[in-house]
Amino acid sequence: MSTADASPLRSEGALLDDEHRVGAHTLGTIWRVLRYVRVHRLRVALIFGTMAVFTATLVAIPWFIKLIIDGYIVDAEGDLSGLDSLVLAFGALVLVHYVSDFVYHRTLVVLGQRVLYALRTDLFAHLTRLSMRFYDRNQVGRVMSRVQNDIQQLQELLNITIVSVAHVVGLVGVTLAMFAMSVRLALITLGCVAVVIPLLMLWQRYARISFERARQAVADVNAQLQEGLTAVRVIQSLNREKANVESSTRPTARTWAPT
Amino acid sequence: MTVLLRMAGYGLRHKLPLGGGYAASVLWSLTFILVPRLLGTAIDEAVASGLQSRLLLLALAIVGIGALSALFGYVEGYLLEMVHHRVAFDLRNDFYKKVQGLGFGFHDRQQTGDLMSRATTDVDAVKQLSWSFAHGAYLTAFVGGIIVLMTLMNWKLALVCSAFAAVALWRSFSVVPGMSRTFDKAQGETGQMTRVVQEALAGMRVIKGFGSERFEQAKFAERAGAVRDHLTVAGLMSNSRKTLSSLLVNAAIGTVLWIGAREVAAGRLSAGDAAAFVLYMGILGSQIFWAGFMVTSFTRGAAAGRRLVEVLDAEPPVAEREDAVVLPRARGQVRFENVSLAYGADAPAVHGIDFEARPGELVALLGVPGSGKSTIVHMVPRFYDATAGRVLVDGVDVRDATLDSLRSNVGIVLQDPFAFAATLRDNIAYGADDPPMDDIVRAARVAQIHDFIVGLPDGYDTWVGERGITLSGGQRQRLAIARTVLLDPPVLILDDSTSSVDVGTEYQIQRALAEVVKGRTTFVIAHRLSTIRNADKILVLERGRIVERGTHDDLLARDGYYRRIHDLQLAPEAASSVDEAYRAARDEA
Repeated sequence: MSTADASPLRSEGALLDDEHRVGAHTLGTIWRVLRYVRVHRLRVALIFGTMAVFTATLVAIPWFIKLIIDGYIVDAEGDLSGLDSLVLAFGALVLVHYVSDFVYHRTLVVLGQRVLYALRTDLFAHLTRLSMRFYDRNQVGRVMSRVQNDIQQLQELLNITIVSVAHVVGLVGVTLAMFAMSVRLALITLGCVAVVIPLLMLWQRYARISFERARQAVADVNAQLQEGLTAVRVIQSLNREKANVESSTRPTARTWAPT
Repeated sequence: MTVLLRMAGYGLRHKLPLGGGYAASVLWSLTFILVPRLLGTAIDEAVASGLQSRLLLLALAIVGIGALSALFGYVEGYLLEMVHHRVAFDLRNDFYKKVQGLGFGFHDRQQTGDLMSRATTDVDAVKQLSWSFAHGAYLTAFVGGIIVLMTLMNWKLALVCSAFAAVALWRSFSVVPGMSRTFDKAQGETGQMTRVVQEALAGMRVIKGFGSERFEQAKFAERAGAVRDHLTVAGLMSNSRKTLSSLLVNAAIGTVLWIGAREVAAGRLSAGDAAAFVLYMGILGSQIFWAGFMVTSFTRGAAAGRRLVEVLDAEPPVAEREDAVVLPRARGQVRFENVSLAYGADAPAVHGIDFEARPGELVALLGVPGSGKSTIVHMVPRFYDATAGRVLVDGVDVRDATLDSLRSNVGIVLQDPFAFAATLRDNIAYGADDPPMDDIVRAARVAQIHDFIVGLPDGYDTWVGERGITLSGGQRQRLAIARTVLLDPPVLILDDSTSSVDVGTEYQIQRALAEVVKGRTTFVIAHRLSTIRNADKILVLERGRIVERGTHDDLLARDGYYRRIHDLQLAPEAASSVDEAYRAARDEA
């Protein structure tokens, strides 16, 4: 597995210039992370298998609720024959849903942590291979901040990517079920979704820039913290603790801005 | 609990946005839970009369209440996000301020990486607490409100739903102690892992020099493995709680439908109410799931809070007395009276140190690493306090002087010079408040670094470090000397200033020192005899005790350690440093 490609620190001579990362290539990052996932083929197969059962039962549960409401609550007119077996079938469905949910999420947790472990160790190995020129030109705090934040972001990306697949499959199933029940109502519901999607896309455009700015501010703060903690003896020997604390609060203030 | 309350105190500093956020949170829940009730009514209307006008009115009411609920949700998010960043800001600053004030004794025991982890990861975990408290507020409003509405519709079904919700909630909360322990461990391991990375990054030159990349990789892999294992266990616990909550909710819905159908058939429940019950169970399920997140966030926040409090409450090893006096500009007399210092329960690091440096004298300390040289000189500016005896500056016990006035009188150039990511001018001016440029240039000249600086395209405005130039060890050392000289301290300590530089650089530093020591009491720790030969007093140390003292000539005449070190350094195959010569002399002795 190529570590240099997988690492966010792709070019060893490059400065960690976060300004230029605004609007980073998300798809490329996803692809690189997925290469780590491929090693765990069996687990991935289990995840997709249980996800299929989980999604199918997720769609079937409301369908069963509809059957019970239609048959025994709205139009029953006092006749409750067959209710017990329908409720028992519902119970069985719920159990299958529970088992698939449990196995699906359990495997996801194990896979996620193993991939992160591989990412972390590869990234660290990559860091030890970078030339001294890189370390001469980049503050330790900033590199640390990037390592911590990038791993965190990759963790979230991994979770979101796999969970998103489940959501998309679930969404397709739910949509089909809705059309099966009532085309008119399904279209009205999807109409609402159609309004929300462009709004979300517009939001994402601004949110991404905002998130990148916040990340930059966090890197600034971490660089300042790292410098202040590493140089604490120099600072104390020069009697500059108070002045240093006062100046350190300035970049920290940038992280106030709600994003 | 004490830790949680203390961390909550940070949120309470921002009462207005916090109160507003919590109020919006409760209003959001209360408006949200009205929607299923209205849907139930709409179903009954549709079944009973099917009047379009009534249905339209109900639909509009649902849309209106939904919009209002969304608005409250937005306000809650905005205000609490604001609080949560301000909590992080305050907490990080308090932590940083505290750490800056804790002396060398504290920092000797702490790893920078671990402190960084506390200032970043732990602060982030604590800032989430304001959300957790909000979740607590709206969860109470949600669950309470839903149970009231359900009881009003049908008490029997309300009881069934409440029983299921109670079991799910109990299950959610019962895993807290185990999860708390696991998160504590994961947090600690993450700190250790961060420390390994931080140390490796800071010491990359040494790692590459010794070719120990693979060793460091193995060390990191071990730590990362522990983090993976703990986070996996924590994730699995969280997962089992979540899936069980979902099972309970679905089981509750099945039971509601089973009993509900009978209640409808008996005329004790309308179809719309039955549908509302199903919707309410769905909402309760999602909220119980959020209760799990709240628990997770609390346990993480408490674990992180404990680690922060450990530092926030740390007793400074060196504290200023309330009645401390301001030491005026000193003449420079420094006296050690039978001084000993022990770290904790260990054997004393220095023992029975007794000597006097008169104003303007140059005192040199000589000995192998660990012989106590640095410890002795660090007691003058009170980086450490004597455990027996006393240190006096101009006749004043250093413990009776304010730290500010004492350290203004004592300048020190540390063994490991540090260059800040700033301009060369700011680096030299670091210890002073806006000094005139002339003073900065004068200090740079004395430290023999001015010529180097003016030879750079940007001169004194050249950036050091990231996005700037890289300084060699000798340049950093002379920069540190200039920084100290600028402050013009009457007492100057040069702590092993030439320990890690080549002979050429040492010559430049020595030229600088010859200028620097003029007119001040100077303590110098050096590795080459040429640096200390002109000292007024030379103290030879071994295992924390002074074993020889006198001038260069006195000590040569005595034919002791010093004489042997001298002979070894001047021999044709001269030892390259005092350390080597000293060891050889000791072996010979």
